[in-house]
Amino acid sequence: MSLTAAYWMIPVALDQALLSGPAAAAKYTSFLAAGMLLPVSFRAAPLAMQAFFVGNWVWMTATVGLLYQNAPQQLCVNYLIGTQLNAGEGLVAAALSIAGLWCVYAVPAYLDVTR
Amino acid sequence: MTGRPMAPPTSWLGTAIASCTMLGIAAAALWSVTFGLRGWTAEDIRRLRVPADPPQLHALRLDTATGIPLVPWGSQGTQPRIWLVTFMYTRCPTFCTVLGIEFERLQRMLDSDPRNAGIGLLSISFDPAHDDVQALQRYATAHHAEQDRWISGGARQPRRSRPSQAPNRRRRDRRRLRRLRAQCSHPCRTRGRAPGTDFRFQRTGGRARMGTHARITLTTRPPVGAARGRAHRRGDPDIAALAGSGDGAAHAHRIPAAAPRRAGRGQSPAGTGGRTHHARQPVGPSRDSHSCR
Repeated sequence: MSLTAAYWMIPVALDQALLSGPAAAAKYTSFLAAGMLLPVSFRAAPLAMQAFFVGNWVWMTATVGLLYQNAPQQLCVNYLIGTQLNAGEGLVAAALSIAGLWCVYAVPAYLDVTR
Repeated sequence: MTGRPMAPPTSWLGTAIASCTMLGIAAAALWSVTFGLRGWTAEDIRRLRVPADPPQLHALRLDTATGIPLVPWGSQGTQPRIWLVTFMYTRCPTFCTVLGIEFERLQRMLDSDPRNAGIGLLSISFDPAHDDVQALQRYATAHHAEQDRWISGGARQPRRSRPSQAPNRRRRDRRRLRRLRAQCSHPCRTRGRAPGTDFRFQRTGGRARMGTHARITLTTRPPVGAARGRAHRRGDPDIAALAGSGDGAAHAHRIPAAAPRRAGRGQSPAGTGGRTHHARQPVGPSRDSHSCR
């Protein structure tokens, strides 16, 4: 999931997905596959590994969101600067939400494990 | 999803192989898309690809919005020496409009300082099929372009079409003429602009009675003075010549009239440059459904 999300945050990959049919198919297929694998892998992973991957995804997404908001020029050909700003804000919001949700899930689980 | 300790995987080897395969595919895709990890946006990639494989560009002849050939780097001493160029098309509703507004703003800024006399603005249209001289003029007018500062240009329209297109053009002109005749024969209108065209019409004779015949004069521009008199004195009941093919080719041919009386051929009024055609046309309310304005 981290790999897929990281790849499709690259501006040139986003443009490719709009301009090329195979790239668009690859994007949807990869997200679908990642989504299908996510619950299985998450269930199998210990809390420490979950923290590693979730934390990695959160800081990466938030950083890209901040970069999208502060970039001096339009990064994608097919998305205007306003859309880029909105995407940046959305990425930061998504990162914070996922981090919060995972904490809500992980703290009771951690307490269960330590008891 | 629970926080249970990780269950022992059935095969570490399988997981490792799958992970490495995924990493390899992602790395290969990344390497390919980013031009060897050297560009991360489409503009970066374009700047890397163009020097690596320069495109073969051909000379393009351009016309300005005033209809004269565009020579931005000609020998005239009064022309600007530095040109800021944008590429646009006049029907573009979004980005080109923004570019036009930016150029308008830039024009005002450049005009405020006489040291900027050597800087010109050039908007080149890449839609030659639609952006003719009139469209470019409308674009220039809409953006308050000053002729000596901001030039809008487009690819030059071909003067003549291929001979194989002539029959299609004649058929199209016949259809256009029939349509015009029907539109201009409404009894409530005696003169005006033919709807949807550059033709002006004037109907003389004939009243709003069924079966009477009006003489309809169509001109590409309104005849003036003696030319108007000559055009009206000619009693030509036949439909004669029609110019105005879309590609600017000037041609004339006979078109049989649907009206009962037939005769010769109309002539362009001397000195006006416009083309005239006459037709006797039965008029009456039932001829067409064009509304009076």
